[in-house]
Amino acid sequence: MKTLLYTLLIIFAFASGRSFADGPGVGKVSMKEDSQNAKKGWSSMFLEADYSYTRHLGEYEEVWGSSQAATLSFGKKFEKNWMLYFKTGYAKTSEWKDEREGNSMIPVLLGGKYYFDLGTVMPYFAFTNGFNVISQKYDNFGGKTDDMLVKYAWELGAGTYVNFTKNFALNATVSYNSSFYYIDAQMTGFVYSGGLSYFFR
Amino acid sequence: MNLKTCWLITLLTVLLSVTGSVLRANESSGNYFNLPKLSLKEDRGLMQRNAADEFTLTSESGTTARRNYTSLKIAKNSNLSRMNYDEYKDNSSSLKTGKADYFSEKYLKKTVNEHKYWESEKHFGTAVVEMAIVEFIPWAISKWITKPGWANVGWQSWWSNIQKGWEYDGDNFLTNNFAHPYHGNLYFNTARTNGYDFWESMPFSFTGSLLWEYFGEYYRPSFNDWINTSVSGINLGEMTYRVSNLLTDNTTRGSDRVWSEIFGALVNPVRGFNRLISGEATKVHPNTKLFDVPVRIYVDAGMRRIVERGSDFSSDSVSTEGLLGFNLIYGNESYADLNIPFSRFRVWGHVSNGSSKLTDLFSYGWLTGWKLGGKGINKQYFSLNLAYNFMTNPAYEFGGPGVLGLFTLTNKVGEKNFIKSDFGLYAILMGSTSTEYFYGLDGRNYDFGPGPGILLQSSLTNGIWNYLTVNYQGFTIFTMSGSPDSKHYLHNGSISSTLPLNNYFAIGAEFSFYWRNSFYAEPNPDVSRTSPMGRLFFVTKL
Repeated sequence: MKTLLYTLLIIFAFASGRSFADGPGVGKVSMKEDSQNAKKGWSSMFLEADYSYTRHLGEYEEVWGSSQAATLSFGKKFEKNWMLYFKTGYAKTSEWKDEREGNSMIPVLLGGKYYFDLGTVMPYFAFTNGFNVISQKYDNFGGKTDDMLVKYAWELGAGTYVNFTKNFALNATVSYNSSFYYIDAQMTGFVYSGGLSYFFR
Repeated sequence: MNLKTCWLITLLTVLLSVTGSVLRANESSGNYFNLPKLSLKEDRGLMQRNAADEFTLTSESGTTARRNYTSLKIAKNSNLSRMNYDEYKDNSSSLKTGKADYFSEKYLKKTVNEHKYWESEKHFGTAVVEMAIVEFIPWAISKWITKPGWANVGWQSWWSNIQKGWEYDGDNFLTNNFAHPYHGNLYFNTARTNGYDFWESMPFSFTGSLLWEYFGEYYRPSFNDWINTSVSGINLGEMTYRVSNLLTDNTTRGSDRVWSEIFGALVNPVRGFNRLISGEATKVHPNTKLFDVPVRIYVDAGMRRIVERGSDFSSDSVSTEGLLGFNLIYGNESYADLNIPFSRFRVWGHVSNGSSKLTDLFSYGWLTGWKLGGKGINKQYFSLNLAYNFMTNPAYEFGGPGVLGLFTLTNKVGEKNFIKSDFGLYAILMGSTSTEYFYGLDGRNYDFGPGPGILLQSSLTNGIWNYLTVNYQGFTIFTMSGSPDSKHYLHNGSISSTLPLNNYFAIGAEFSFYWRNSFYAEPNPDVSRTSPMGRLFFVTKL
């Protein structure tokens, strides 16, 4: 609950005003642009399906190995170079043996991308921030442990879109994540993901 | 406790008040260096402003110039673009320093037309280099001069930090809640003073702090440092950016200019550096609109007596301290743009002669807002603010950055007075609060955690002096690091009164009551502590 609260607060702080610019009077100028964008409605939205492989690090990797995930993102492109998006999915570690021992999670993330529109190719930097709902089962010296954890998660990376039709683009990202798990064994790792994006335009 | 020091501070305040009044009285003669003519600006803002988007400026020679500050013009003509002399010439009298024909028409035209503001373009490369310098200087001092050990970084520590991820550190309260935000303010300003707006500068603060945590220290990256440095750094950074803009007067020359540049650079070193490399520190050119924002500054001094009563000890602990404080109110609710972050903010704090030298520091600045209704003095609006809290004294500690949603309403009472009330909800992102059961290696004796909070405040005021103020703040902090499985309920109520003796000087008294209920996991017993405090003070408006 604490982590959930924590995450929501941080997301709230981040998301509270990207649509407002700064500087004397500039806020109003940008607001006009924003309202123009708003009129476009769905035309600035995008949907993305990705597969990702995470090479975990440290003690988490020693216990649970690597993990694979399928994620779905839904977002909005703002004027200039910004995107805001929501991402969720399902991930499972490679040490999932059977019903008695394993670790899986559902990430619930909100993030932003800063992209460079070069035409066919759109490279970007991405930051996502949210929480992982972790389910884990293991034998604890004979006693079975079945935990549900909610932990703060964030991910920072770079990637690119390759537009191959007006609406479809391929997406590839490499990122580093450092999510909370246990204070002595955080869930860190490098994430390699690829997928397909659909831009409503 | 030494009462002599208290009396000394009190006498100092009286002296300061008298000096302030004298300076104010001499203002029109212009025979002293008046920092940025703050009170003049306030008067201009409060009394001569005709409409929401229009300024009337009166030069010292008596000519009046009107200028429409529509949002588009502001965007084009202020600090964001090249200014055209024809658009500016109505106000060219402001480029004079009080003496007729100080600058020739030809010189003015050339100056205005040729000047392109440094911040009118984004300088990404400069921002990155400056961030590297801001990272390097404290690291180099630690590595080669003070040698505390944590600066001995290399591939091994970097890879280890990448592998291990976040932890919470054990630094003392001042380091985590004040020194780190100051560093974050520098990161923020590497972008803010290089042409990026408030929102665009935020990632620089987070990135600078992240790089420091992973690669600047031998220890594992500290999550509390990241939040405190970044979020409070943004808060402090935007305030120093704006205050520095108030201090540097581009239209002056000679010693006035030198001092204004020095003070501006002291408040915001990154901006000072950029003004030097861009040549703006030495070139006469028009001021931006940020120079003309109305501000009010109050300085107060006095003494306080704090009592600490706890369920975990038998006798009370009493401390008496001398205090010196300030209160800066930037912008004016009447016409500050609700959509421009920090177009209005308030920052106030105190230093004491007790064990904690910096004893309290608070601020909040609005990120965005919505006017809900009303007109004239009777109005209501909702604002979303970035808040900063720092309180440390012999009885308790509390601090942390947060987001504050504030519903404000004002109601006219009589001819000149009104009641201003605030109802707010806090989201504390990284609260720090005293605890009985945690002691870190590096002096940390408090818990970390997020939590919600509430603010209720009401003042009877004439817009300058708050005759009577009633305030309550309550927080719940869920411990993420420190005493395991604990939570803290914090309450702070106060009532204060100010009696103005003239326009610039007042005396006042405050009584406050701080109450902490901490609930710990077994076998540690829960603790309840109360800290009543009384304060007497003098306050002067500069």
